[in-house]
Amino acid sequence: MQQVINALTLGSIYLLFSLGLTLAWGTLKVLNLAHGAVFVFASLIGFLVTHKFGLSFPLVVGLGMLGAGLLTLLIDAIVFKRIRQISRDERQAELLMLAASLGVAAILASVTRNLTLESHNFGLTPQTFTTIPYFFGPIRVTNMQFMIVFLGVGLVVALALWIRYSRAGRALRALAYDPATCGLMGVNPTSLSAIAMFIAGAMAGLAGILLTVYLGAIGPEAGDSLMLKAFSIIVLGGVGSVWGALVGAMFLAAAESIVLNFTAGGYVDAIAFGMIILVLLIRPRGIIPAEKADRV
Amino acid sequence: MSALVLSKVTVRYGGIVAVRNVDLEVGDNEILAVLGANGAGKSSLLKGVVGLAKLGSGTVKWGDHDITGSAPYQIARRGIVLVPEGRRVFAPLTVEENLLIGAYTQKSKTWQKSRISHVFSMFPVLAERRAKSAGLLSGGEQQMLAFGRALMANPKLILMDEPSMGLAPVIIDSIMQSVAAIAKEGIGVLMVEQNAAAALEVAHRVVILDRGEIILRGSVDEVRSHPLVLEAFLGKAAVDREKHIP
Ligand SMILES: Nc1ncnc2c1ncn2[C@@H]1O[C@H](COP(=O)(O)OP(=O)(O)O)[C@@H](O)[C@H]1O
Ligand SMILES: [Mg+2]
Repeated sequence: MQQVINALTLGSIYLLFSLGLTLAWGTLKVLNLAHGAVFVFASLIGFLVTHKFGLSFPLVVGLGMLGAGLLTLLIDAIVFKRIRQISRDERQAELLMLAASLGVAAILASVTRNLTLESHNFGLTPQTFTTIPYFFGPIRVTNMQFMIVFLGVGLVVALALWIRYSRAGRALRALAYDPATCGLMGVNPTSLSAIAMFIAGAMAGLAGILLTVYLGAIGPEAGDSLMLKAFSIIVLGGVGSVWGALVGAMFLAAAESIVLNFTAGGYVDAIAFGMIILVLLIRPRGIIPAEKADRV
Repeated sequence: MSALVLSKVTVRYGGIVAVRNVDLEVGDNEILAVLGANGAGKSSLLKGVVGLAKLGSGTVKWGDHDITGSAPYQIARRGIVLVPEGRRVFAPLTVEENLLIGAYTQKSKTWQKSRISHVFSMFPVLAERRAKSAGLLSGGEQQMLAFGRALMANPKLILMDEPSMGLAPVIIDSIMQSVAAIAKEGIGVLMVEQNAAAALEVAHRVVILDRGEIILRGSVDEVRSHPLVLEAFLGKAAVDREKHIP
């Protein structure tokens, strides 16, 4: 049972991180490999503002999300927008974005390393958030775990409702299907993609701050391993599918904790990802293909 | 009174000139049909107007505004809507969602509601299918949805790219009746068609486009009996028949 709680917490972090990535990938066809670096950037903001100014936790969360959202917006405005203009077709655009975002990730990673004094792990000041454990018999659940799961599940529902029922969400689904015709309806693709990119970045930022507090500290390379996990989660759940990301994230977290329970730990990634490959061989389009789920 | 005025419009793709020096004008209430064979440059002409294709030269004016080179979404916001070739409905979205996307520029919920019921009264079949995915509709129903989606934008001018394409004759008749009904609402219509017979049923004025150039223009009656048109669109038999009738 304790493992279930821990897996649920970890899964919620994976989920928050993956949601933004799958949103941008599924609707805008932007596979942003700098998403992990944006995630670390939010923790960096948390590290800097708590050590310099001792800001309170809600403020740190707000600033981390805002900073990560704006950074993603900036990457979109400088790099992706230009690539969309110069590309011959969607395929070429996707490939160029992949390469360019890898470059952006490398730049952000070296900035982070320099600002945190060379690859040390960094975290918020301990007084920013006081972890309170609650005991239910032998099971220990902290207030941070409650918050992480609550935010993860809450934001999945909010995002799914937004995509399905809001004016912008509807336009995003139309944009994903046929961008040229979407423009004929009066939709400005630049501002719509800016909204989606900001949301994607802000969710990565939230995941960054929460994981940093949960673990105490993270390293500049935390974004890389999370990118790999998110990639599998999204492919597993179906690209662009919000509910698919939920299923995929929880599946991966559960698989990891099961493996960890029965082995020494060195094989966690191998076995967890092996299971994902197995699922994909059976269901190549993911567990919940987007067209059948929330993008219909 | 606003009118669309094209002056010396040219559209090029690399070395290919798809539209050359086209002048034309469309007012409200009227249906201007641009007839031309496959590859004549009809779609390129409409794409040039709405900003989907860059103009090589020439200008597009809308009332007092020069809209040459504006982005498609800016042109849509001025009340000019294109119903594209092949309908291009948003297949994964429902019929109702397609209509709401059409009303993207019209944010008032009450206005959207009354407009949707207006569209449903014009095309009752859309009301029956409102919760269905647009991709599941028949070709004729998709064309009605594309018209309805355009009407949702409260347009002053609708550009139609071959609305009859791929439809059965009976359906074409009813689609052309809808085109006439749309114009009766005070909306200008610029319709490009390959199916001359169908377009001539509802058009007020006609322009013939051949390899990117306008070779003939006039009223429906003038154009209908012109040998060029008869031969190009209605077939050689029609020319012979016309000659033999005293
Ligand atoms: N995107 C494009 N790139 C290159 N050539 C094009 C493109 N679109 C159309 N053309 C060419 O321009 C000419 C006119 O095409 P089009 O406007 O589609 O004609 P129509 O709609 O009357 O069938 C044709 O010769 C066609 O091959
Ligand atoms: Mg065409």
